Amino acid sequence: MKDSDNHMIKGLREGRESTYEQLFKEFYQPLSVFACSYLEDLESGKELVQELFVHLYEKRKTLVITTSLKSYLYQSVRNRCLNHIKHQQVKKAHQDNMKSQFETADSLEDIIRESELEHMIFKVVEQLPPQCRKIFTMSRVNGLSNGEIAEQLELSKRTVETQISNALKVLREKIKF
Amino acid sequence: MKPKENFEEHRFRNLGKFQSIDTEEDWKKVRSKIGFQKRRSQGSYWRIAASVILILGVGYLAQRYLTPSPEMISVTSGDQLRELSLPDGSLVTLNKQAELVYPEKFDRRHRELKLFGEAFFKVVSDPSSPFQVEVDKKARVRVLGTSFSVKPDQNSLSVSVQVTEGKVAFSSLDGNSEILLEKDQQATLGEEGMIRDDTVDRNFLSWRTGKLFFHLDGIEDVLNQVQEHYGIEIVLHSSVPRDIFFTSTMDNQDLESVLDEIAMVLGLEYRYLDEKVIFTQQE
Repeated sequence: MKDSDNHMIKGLREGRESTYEQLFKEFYQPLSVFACSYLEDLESGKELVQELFVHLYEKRKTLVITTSLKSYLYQSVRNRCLNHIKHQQVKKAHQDNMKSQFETADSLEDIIRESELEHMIFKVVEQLPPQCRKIFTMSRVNGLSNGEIAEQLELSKRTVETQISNALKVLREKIKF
Repeated sequence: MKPKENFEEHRFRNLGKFQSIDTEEDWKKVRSKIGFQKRRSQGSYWRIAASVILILGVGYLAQRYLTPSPEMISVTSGDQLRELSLPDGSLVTLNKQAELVYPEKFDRRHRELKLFGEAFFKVVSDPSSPFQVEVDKKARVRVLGTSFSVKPDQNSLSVSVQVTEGKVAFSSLDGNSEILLEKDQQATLGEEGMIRDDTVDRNFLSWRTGKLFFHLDGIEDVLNQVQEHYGIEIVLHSSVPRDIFFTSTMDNQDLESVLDEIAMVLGLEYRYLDEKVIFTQQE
């Protein structure tokens, strides 16, 4: 376990607000998106992660973490998702789908790596120059074609293409795919 | 996935979800659900430090009138500190955004006031007429001839009292919890009841004196207090170890020089981002 982990766990046990805040700000987004992949709904995912943090505080005196803090959080979220799904009224067909998804589930490590990658992508995109970020978002998030983006922003298609390729360049540089 | 797409493209599918999450907003929800209790002084914790100094000027005590129902006076500070004197000659300093309600003329048997927010009291001694402050509709501080500070916390979930001199009886309004505090003692009335605080914050009155005093204080506590004193949000990056300690006395220094000093002494760097200050390791 990392040293910083030890320090954080101590802060959690002591109920230090700054520790909880720091942990929340670091992991809330990736954990919520991760939960969403199980629950198929981002709002539910967010609520689940929020409940996890409240629970962490309430049970802080008896907190025992043997793996890393990160693994613990992802593991907890996954367990809660699975419990949540079990208790839901789910159509039999859907249930069968879910089952097959879990049978081929990746190891927790792979899942965490994937989640961290997506989190990194978000952070890199946030740091892009405003127009570049806007164009990239319209393309990859909103699914617009380069032509549609050019039209909406009143730019040339060439400009749009350049901006997107710039964004991808930065992403490839900062994140080893 | 389209065959012509780069293999990385599927990794952007959740980008929109990340962008739609407002971490700041949701942290506030979680924070209020948790309701953090604090025992030691931390930046976001408001404590009312009222130093009540015994004034033995007896002359004032003679001036008391028998009035059936006195006019109530309400005094509010805004963005400034505000000083005022009470009908009995006692002095009050209100911190920013505070309100004090008191009668035009004190009743002969007791001197009662209502306080919302943070204030500092200098009470004229009069054993025959106890001085009582009701705080935030939650607690009552009865002065037994001393200096005291009262401070409710930001989310108004608790009230703290620190005594600089003399004695104070600090209780909940329903009278279920009461504690007697003497010089250099401090207690907090929160949701879990009345708790005597283990350590007394030296910087309780920094808003009044302009002085910040640190002695082997951990970096988190230091930044919390600077944050509160200057009213600016300070963030300590997770990569900075927490077990570094800072010692210094800062007397009415401006924020920049305080930050510079902390950074230089502890080997850190800081920068401004939006309206926050962020401390990181030196590169």
